Amino acid sequence: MANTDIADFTQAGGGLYDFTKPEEGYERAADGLTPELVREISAKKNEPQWMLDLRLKSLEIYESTPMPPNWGPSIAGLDMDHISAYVSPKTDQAKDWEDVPEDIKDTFERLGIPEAERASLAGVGAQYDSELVYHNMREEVAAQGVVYSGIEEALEGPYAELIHEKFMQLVPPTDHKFAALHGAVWSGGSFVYVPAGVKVDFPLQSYFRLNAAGAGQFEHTLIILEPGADLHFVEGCSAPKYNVANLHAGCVELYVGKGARLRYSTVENWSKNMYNLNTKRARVEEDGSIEWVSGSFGSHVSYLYPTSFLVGDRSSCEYTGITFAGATQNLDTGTRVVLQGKDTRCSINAKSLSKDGGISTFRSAVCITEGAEHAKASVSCASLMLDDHSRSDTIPAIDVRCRTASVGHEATIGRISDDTVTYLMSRGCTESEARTMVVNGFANPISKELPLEYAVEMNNLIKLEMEGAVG
Amino acid sequence: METTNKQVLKQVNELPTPTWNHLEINGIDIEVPAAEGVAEAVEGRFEGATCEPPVGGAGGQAQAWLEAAAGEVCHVEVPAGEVADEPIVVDMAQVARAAFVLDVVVGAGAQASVVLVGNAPASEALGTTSGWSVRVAVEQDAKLDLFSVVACDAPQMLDNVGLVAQKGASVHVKQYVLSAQLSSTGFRCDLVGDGSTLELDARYLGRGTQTLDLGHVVRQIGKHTLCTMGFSGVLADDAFKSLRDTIDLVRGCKGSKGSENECVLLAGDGVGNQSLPVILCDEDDVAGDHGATVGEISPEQRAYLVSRGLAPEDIPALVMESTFAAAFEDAPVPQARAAVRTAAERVLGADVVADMLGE
Repeated sequence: MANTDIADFTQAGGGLYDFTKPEEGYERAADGLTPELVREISAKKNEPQWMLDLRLKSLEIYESTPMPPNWGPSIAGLDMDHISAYVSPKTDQAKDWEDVPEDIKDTFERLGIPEAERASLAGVGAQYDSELVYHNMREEVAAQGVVYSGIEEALEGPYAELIHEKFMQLVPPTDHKFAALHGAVWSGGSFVYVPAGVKVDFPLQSYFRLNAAGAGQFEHTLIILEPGADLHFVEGCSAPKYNVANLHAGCVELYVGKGARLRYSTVENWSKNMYNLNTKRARVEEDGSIEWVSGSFGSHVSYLYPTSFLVGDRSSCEYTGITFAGATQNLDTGTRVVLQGKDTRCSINAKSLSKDGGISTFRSAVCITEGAEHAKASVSCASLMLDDHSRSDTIPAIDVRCRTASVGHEATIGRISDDTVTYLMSRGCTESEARTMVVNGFANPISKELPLEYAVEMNNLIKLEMEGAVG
Repeated sequence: METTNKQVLKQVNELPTPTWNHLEINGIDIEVPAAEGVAEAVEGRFEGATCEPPVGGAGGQAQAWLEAAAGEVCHVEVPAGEVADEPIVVDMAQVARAAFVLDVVVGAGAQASVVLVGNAPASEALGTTSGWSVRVAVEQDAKLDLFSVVACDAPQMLDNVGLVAQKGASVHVKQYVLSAQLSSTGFRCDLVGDGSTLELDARYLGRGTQTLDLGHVVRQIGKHTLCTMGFSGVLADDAFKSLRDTIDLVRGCKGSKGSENECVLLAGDGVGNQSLPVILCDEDDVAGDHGATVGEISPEQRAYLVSRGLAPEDIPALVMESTFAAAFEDAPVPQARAAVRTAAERVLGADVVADMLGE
């Protein structure tokens, strides 16, 4: 089946992010998945044998694993026989923007990445299709012993054994079909290592751009924080829109050591022909904390549920997320937290908006295991319906196996009240401005958690989505 | 009914929109004796109703088993405008077979009450599982009060209820799940008519190694419908409970409001609790909310009770006692009160119950 049942994608707006570059001179693997392709990707990266073995095993698992028949939005329009799993711009990874090929550099300049790096980041990685094209980190941060590099590069260095120990342990290929797919054809992504006690004052950022039509992006991000370390990692992603399906099946594995703190922020603005089937997991040790900040605006279909395992006593998790589903979008997002340690804490705060026929589903699971004495969790979810032909569902699961644990949950769903709009119009706003203002206020608790430039991007995305909301 | 063969009813009380399978929260598989009776054909039932036959909350397999196990259907029609003097009572202690099936049409403007008493089966020879399937069409401006209590000590009890409420109809439901080794409560109500309402209050008590599975689905279809569901319960010892309650705000149900709330008291070291309060919303001009709290009795409440002379270890028993007391007070007929009393005496002892009832 060809990926052609998505003609409606082209009706959805893309704005700033919707520009394409020619693929001339690029290396592009034939569509579909074969063991030969997997061997070819591994050989290109000069990988150790264990990684090739993992890839081949993952391919076997992928081929033998069915999709759960009853899961969320349909991905019937995604046909792996019509997806190229590897597209490379055939350029070496640069440490200076001047060394990046002109058309790729232009892409990232239009997205504001070099400017952001200069202004407020400790380091930047930029991935274009299947490969990293740029990676750099401030010297003073490197001097603290922080490692931020491409993961392939790190596989050849002093951290090779550590990567072997951690790679796809939190997200094993057996986890689900697209974890297996990722294990087989992953390419690109980042490795971050923060030594014990080191606090990185400015965020590190990875930006993922998928330019090629009908291609997949499968980057792998592995972050290891030693005890007492502190890091804010920011992830952005976008793609131009095509009338064929693209696939993003990345994987993020985060190891948060004792007393360490990691904030992982994402603003996802994939184009509306994208199937975003991403998997993110964190393991948190004693007194450690993971904070997820997530903005989901793009893609045709999303399955995105960052998962935290609070293994250590007194470890904690905060999830703050917003999802905006517009025309042609079906976004199934949320989070899972497994509280295993004593006195663990988790706080989930999710918001969603649905407009122009978009479908937004908030899905969560808070699981408190037998030994999680005095664990506490709170879940809050609010959904705003912006018209009468959109949809919003909330499916929050709570599973408690410990007497001394406590969980609180609340959720609301509704629309912008006419009284509010009327009041704002009486103060001089147009109806469109009034509604945008309310939506921005609704999203504000999330956007204020983001770095400034991402908060601005998020507000712009909301503004873009709200254009034409009236009349 | 022959009881030599077994069959498994798959995904009883199934969630309309499933979530993670590994949580095993989407429904429950229940092994039952193979029912070899023949269910009465659906055609012709609910002829007096202006709606489609109601659908039970337990799902098709459970409903088919219950109908086959019952072998016959009891039809009751309350004529339009009539206020029924006596409730329609299903007392499982008086039922000769393992299951009972009841179809009711409450005519326009009529008032009726249905009482379901999950007492001990009349005969042990009936096998390990008993239950009922009750479906009620509540016509325009009619009123229905439904009271059910699961109070038997039987291995398994299946409770399957399906309701349809037409324009202006109002439904009040009180459910008590107090006993049975495995109790399965499937409930569905379709608020089809404009202005129809459902008010549901469910209380449960799990102890020992009991399993309680509750699946509630309310579909709000008509305009300006109102749904309020409250659940509260106590889990002691090694009891396990799963509750999935869904409010489905169907496109077109403008002006509707749906609310669900659950409060779970954990009172045993081996307890397990699953809660899944779902809102499905396909309409913008609505308001929906849900809330859940799960935990031990709060430190403030504990301190107060201790200050009044109660030993901390006696607090769960006090809460259980209050559940039985409420069930006894709400029970509208002697059969229900007797069932509650018997169940209470099994848990609390006869002296405590006599004291509780002021005797």
